[in-house]
Amino acid sequence: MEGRNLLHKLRVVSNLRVSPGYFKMVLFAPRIAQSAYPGQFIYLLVENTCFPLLRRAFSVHRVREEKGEIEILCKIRGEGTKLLSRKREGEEIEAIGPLGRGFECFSREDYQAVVLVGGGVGIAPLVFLGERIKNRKGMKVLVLIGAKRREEVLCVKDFQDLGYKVEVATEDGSQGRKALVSELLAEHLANAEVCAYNVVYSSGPLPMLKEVARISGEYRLSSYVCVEQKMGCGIGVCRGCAIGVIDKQGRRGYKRVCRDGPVFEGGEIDWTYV
Amino acid sequence: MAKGEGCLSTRLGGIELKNPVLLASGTFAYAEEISQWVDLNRVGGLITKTITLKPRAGNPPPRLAETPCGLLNAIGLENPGIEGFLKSKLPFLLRFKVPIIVSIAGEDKQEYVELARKLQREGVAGLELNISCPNIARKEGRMISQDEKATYSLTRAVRRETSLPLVVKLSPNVGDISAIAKSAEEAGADILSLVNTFLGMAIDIDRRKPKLGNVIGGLSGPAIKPLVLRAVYEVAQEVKIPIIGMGGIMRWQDALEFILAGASAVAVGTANLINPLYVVEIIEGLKGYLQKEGIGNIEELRAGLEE
Ligand SMILES: Cc1cc2nc3c(=O)[nH]c(=O)nc-3n(C[C@H](O)[C@H](O)[C@H](O)COP(=O)(O)OP(=O)(O)OC[C@H]3O[C@@H](n4cnc5c(N)ncnc54)[C@H](O)[C@@H]3O)c2cc1C
Ligand SMILES: Cc1cc2nc3c(=O)[nH]c(=O)nc-3n(C[C@H](O)[C@H](O)[C@H](O)COP(=O)(O)O)c2cc1C
Ligand code: FES
Repeated sequence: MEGRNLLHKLRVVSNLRVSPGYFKMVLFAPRIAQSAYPGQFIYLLVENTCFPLLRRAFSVHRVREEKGEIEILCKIRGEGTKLLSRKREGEEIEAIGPLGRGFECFSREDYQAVVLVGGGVGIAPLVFLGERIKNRKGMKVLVLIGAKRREEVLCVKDFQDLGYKVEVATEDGSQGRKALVSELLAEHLANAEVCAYNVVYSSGPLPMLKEVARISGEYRLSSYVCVEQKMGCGIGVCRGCAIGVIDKQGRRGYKRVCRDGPVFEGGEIDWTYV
Repeated sequence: MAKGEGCLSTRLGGIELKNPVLLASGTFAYAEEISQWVDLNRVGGLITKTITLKPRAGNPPPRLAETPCGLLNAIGLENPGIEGFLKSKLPFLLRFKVPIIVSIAGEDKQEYVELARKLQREGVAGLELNISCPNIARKEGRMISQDEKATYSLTRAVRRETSLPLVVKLSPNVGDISAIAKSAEEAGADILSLVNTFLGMAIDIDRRKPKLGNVIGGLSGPAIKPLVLRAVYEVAQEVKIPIIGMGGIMRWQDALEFILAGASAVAVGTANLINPLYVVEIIEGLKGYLQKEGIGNIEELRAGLEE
């Protein structure tokens, strides 16, 4: 009954607006704090009623193991996230997690020079990843953050505090470069000396991930992407969260974002329909 | 059997159930993952994800869209096909000491018959004919269960092939569900499952596109419960064979409503996706209710509406 160990009642430690339409929730979750690794998600039951009906998925954004706390960074999209944004300190939320396969390779010793590419609220899991790779010797990390406009540029300071170089691109030019974040990636890889980087980790909207995977592929870099999909059960039984994949022989099929992902190798996803 | 649960035991068209709460097709796959959460020996029975003759990849994503108190799905019967099922899924299911009912669907009558033949001697407790799936291409745009004659002829053909208890799962997307139910009964069905999902749709107004990759899907969850209760209530008065009621059962009170409306058993579907432990709470809740009310067996409540 390992599943049952993943069922928790989490107490809200704090819930703060970080910019218009975005909030950051700290949850007391000692068991998740202990076991989660970057790219995994938690699955929250917003209300114990039938509306919203299904749970809502959020990447683990940060972990404070010593305090037994985790953080999630959320964008208000619909009813579920609106209700979550109103949760107050002390309230309890039922959760399952940590779930899914995250950036499993994050501790690989040979990945010494890393690019993190985040789009919008998709940046959330990359902060956790950035924290976990920080203490490795000789790590070189470049962070590229993309958003529609200034208000949606998140986590710049978090990465700067970790000592990483951060560059920002906005679609309207209101902060950083007026460009797509994938264009920043392409420039960096084009200008870099041979093998200056050896892996790209990315999280954000699918069209952005498609570009990141394509560009990384052109430079023969490994890329790992954290994808989002509408989910049902979150534990692999309903097949509702399918994403198209293509294997080395070129055969197409589907995998489950909740269980086989949410992190996939960039070359594994069938991007044709994105 | 857990102590004191005798009050929940019931017979369902030749299948002995320790309690009348089953898991509905497509909402727990083949038990591998969900058995990590629930002691499946506690549930009344398991109705597998629908199996087809050949493996199916399923529909293009997105396959799910939530609507108020409901869930639209267009999974498209993703399954490993009968050979894959027999080889890699069934042995695991048979470890549990509960009846395993295998849901099957074919492209035509012959395929249903062939599936029934292949399952005849595999140790399963029964077959459920899924003739009501909204997510696969339908002959002439209709599901078999939308047509009395087709329902009769298909049920009859499979009945001739198998001695296993035969469940026929009906679609609610019909004018007169009792007429379809009677065709299935006359053709030799032992049990009816009421119901499969309601055809539905949801639109993303920002993108001006359907929310489902398959455009149309099937609605399940609490939103459909009153509609299904009506169907169970009416069909129960028209047929003699037992009914498994399903649609939006989240708590024991919902299950009891179905039994009072005339169902002999219930199946829990969408609720498994929210919390795999709800099914155990439902069983516990029913038991507690019977004990509190001093009722010896759940069957006493079947179709038990007060005048
Ligand atoms: C593995 C995973 C990790 C995630 N991590 C985060 C995170 O760290 N921070 C965050 O803010 N969000 C995250 N999401 C997305 C988040 O789950 C959705 O924003 C949320 O479910 C929307 O719920 P709602 O009730 O507010 O919106 P709904 O009313 O359900 O939907 C509103 C709109 O949001 C879109 N939407 C809903 N669910 C999803 C989804 N799962 N993926 C993409 N779009 C969706 C819908 O298409 C719709 O247009 C993650 C999703 C997944 C699958
Ligand atoms: C994700 C999902 C997959 C389903 N797959 C099947 C299936 O393969 N075969 C079938 O007969 N019914 C399938 N159903 C229908 C359920 O078995 C059930 O009839 C319906 O959902 C109503 O019950 P509920 O409201 O409790 O979910 C599926 C339902 C859902 C939500
Ligand atoms: S959400 Fe159910 S299989 Fe992934």
